[in-house]
Amino acid sequence: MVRYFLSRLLIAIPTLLAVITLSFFLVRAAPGNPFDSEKPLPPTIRANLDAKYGLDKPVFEQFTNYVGGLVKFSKEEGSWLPTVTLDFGPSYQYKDRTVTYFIQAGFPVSLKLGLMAIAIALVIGVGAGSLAALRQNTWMDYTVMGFSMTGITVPNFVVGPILQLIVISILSATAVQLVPITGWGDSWKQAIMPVFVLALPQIAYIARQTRGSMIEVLRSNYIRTARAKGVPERTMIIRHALKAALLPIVSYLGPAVAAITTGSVVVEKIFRIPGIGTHFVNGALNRDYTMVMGVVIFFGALIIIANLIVDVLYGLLDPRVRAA
Amino acid sequence: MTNTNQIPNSNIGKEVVSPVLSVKDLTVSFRTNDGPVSAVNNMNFEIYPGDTVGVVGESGSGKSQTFLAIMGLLAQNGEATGSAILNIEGKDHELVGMDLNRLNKLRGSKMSMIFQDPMTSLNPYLKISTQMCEVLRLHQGMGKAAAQQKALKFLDLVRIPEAKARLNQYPHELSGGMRQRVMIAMSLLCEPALLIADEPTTALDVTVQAQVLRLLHDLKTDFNTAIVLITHDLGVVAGVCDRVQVMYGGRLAEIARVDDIFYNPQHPYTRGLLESTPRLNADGSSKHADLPTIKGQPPNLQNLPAGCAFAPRCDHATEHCQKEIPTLRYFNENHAKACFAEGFSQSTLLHGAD
Amino acid sequence: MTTTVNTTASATTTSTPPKGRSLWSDAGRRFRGNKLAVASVFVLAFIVILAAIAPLLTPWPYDMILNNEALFNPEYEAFNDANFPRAPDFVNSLWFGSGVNDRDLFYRSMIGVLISLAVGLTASLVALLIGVIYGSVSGYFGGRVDQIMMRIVDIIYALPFMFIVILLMVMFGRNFFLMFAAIGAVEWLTMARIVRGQTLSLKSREFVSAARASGVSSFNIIRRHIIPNLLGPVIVYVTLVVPQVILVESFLSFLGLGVQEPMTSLGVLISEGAKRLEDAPHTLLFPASILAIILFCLNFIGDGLRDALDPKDR
Repeated sequence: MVRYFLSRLLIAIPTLLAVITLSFFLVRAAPGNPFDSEKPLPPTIRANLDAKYGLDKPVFEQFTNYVGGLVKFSKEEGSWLPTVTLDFGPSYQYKDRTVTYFIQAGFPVSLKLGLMAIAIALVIGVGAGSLAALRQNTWMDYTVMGFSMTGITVPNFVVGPILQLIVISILSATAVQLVPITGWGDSWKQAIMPVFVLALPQIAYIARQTRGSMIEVLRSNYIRTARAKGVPERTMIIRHALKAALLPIVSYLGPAVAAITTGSVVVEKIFRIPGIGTHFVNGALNRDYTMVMGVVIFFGALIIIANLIVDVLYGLLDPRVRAA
Repeated sequence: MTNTNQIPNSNIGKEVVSPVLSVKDLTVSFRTNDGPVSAVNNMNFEIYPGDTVGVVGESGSGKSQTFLAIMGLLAQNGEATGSAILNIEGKDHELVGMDLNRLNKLRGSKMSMIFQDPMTSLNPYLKISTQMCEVLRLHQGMGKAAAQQKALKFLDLVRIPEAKARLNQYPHELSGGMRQRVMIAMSLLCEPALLIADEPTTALDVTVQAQVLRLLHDLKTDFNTAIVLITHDLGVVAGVCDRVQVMYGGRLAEIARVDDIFYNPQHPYTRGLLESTPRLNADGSSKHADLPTIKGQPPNLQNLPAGCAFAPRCDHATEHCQKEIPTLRYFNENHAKACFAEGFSQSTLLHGAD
Repeated sequence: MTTTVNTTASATTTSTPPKGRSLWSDAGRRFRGNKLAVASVFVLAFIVILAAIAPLLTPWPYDMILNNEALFNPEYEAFNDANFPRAPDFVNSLWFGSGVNDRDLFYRSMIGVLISLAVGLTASLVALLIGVIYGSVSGYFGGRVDQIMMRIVDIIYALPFMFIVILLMVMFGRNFFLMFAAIGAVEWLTMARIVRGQTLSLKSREFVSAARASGVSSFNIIRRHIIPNLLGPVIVYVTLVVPQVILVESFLSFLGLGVQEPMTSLGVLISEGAKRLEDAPHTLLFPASILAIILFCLNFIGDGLRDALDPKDR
């Protein structure tokens, strides 16, 4: 188990370093100067700005400064746990704000959105998938599979606006507003649409995956053994089949976190939610290099850590890995 | 097909015992994309308490499907018709078409089954103790501690070393032979009247095979359990069985006591099987330079011939054999065959009994 | 269970005539048996043809702002009112109406189709090329080379690739070529893994050993045994990558980081339409449903090919 964890860590750390290095040098390799955006600046002002942001130093020194400044540990009086602060440097676009400020402001919103989406995807996906597997080749199975085919195929930037359109049409036809179609934080109802749209592809994947692995497990020899032992169908599914069927889902959670993080960028744009994704898109469109870089590194680290956690979880659940 | 055969009681010299399992006209068919396939046709046989019956045939002969049907374990596209009655303490239970809840009260308790591949037959995610105690708690309503105790006792019984430690292990920590022993222990926990072992030693090393067979043989005497040993290996049959049923093309070809199968086989297919089994002389040389084989291919179950399924491969086949299916007939108290040919005398066997 | 398989297997093998059927004709027969996949081929072909001949079907240039043109050109009098996006209007051959900027939505949607498919195919081919070379080298040499090469793949695989692509697009401008490269450079990873796995297992398969033992040359072994067996999974994977790439392209375009004006793509059109869905829902519905249909078709075709080429996977 320790070896397994270390081998996973051995992938996670270089990956994280690769993300940071890649983003940093991509940004530095970009043609032009970040402050050249509208009109060329007078040389003295440019030099001042370059000096202020450390851009006059050699690239390698800039890199070590950036990496060195990323994570800071500070210890407060009375607490024995150090406080970790992340510092992604100043925003090039909003000169009086730091990137960390935007990430701090957006993260709670994005996190809430993402966690709700994953939770819902798991509950509905596993439920629907198991149901389809147990009622294989019935209308229930076909409905679930048709739905999940749609969820996988149609991207959420199509589903989102179309659902908004449907809500608007119902509103204009019956004067009933089913759910709010934009905004965040004023009412819990505002979360319904974005969470659903964000979760949809994951519901679809998880349902499909669960169905597939459940069918495979139900055909396995040890399920036949359980049947031969006279284990009632319900107990058999819960005790003998579900765990094996859910293991692939656990390992899918890593990619799911990545997909949800990516999806949140689009969903926040569609539903005008003030999360990290919105800042990220604005940063990207305004060529706010530090902002884009900061968010890429932040999300990258998040995804890598999520993958690590999932790997450990998988190891804990599978006795064969646990023993290794 | 008319059922002209009357099955006599095989337990000569004992008082009249009623069979633990009576199978009548059992037929198993599968729906496939290429149409229905009948894997088992009109099986009729009985199994008596304490008997060990070997069921021999090549793959596709229907030997496993017969007993999977009896256990209610057919694949989803399979269907069984006919009758299979399990007699427990004088009470008859019709297994074919039995409702799942009632069936689950019998499976694992009154009748149990172990399978060919011990590597995959145990749940890899559950401890041995969980899997064994489950049976006891389910069928005998035992508490956790009592169930653990009994499971431990049975692991000792199947001669698993350090049984106590094994209980807390997962299947992947055990060797194949150990797992098959666990399966056997688990199947015997409720002291079933009938134990079906489907090729229990095929996947094991030769040395382990002998140990497992020995174990089955010994346990039978302890529990008076009837054992059905499904195998394609005549050597296995010779060691442990009292009686043998030979199957071909989804039908019974011959039923006899184990000695008669080896020394006085009456069905051409049985004879072919025996002749194609390699043997060594005392001096280590083989008797025949060329091992005779049964010519031709196993039958296509989807498209069985109108007559005897073995006729296309049989040296003794007549026109009659091509047209009509021979029924299983007892020509003495313990010996039945499904063949139109005259009886064979012992000496006609290519290499007689050694 | 094992014996069930045995019975059915022996039944099917003996029921088919001994005449040999090639893998490909067999696969073709199975694919034609899949109604959904065959229908998808036809629907997709229809859309592609429609997109290809779109210039013949509409009198309006794709980049012409109709209302602007009406100010100078009396011929375009019909578009004099600034009340756009215009609803579909068959009299003026505006089949899908006009878009957010008052350009012919039909023509622009069709351009979007062509761009999506072009990006999808090109990036998939890039992925195919890199993946097959990398994977076969890794699988062929095996040992330490294989270990190092696959560890690199593992690391790249774990990168949050969508964000790296966005970073690329931000830094180097919304360059078409860069987009191909960026998407292709990510999608080759799975391809490399598949090819490597196949090569490794094929290398040690009995029929390859048998061929080698009977003196067949390496070239002929690769040509007759390795490639045909590699081709199935590779084709299946490529057909599944195409819709994925299209999705990425339209995702970027939707965010405003992909194809730029006056060129357009389905993602751009959907993004524009989403802003006007209250007063002009057709600007959303047309491009959105076309994209959905294309993706459905490609997925059905991919699934159909997988089932046809890899029957044991069913």
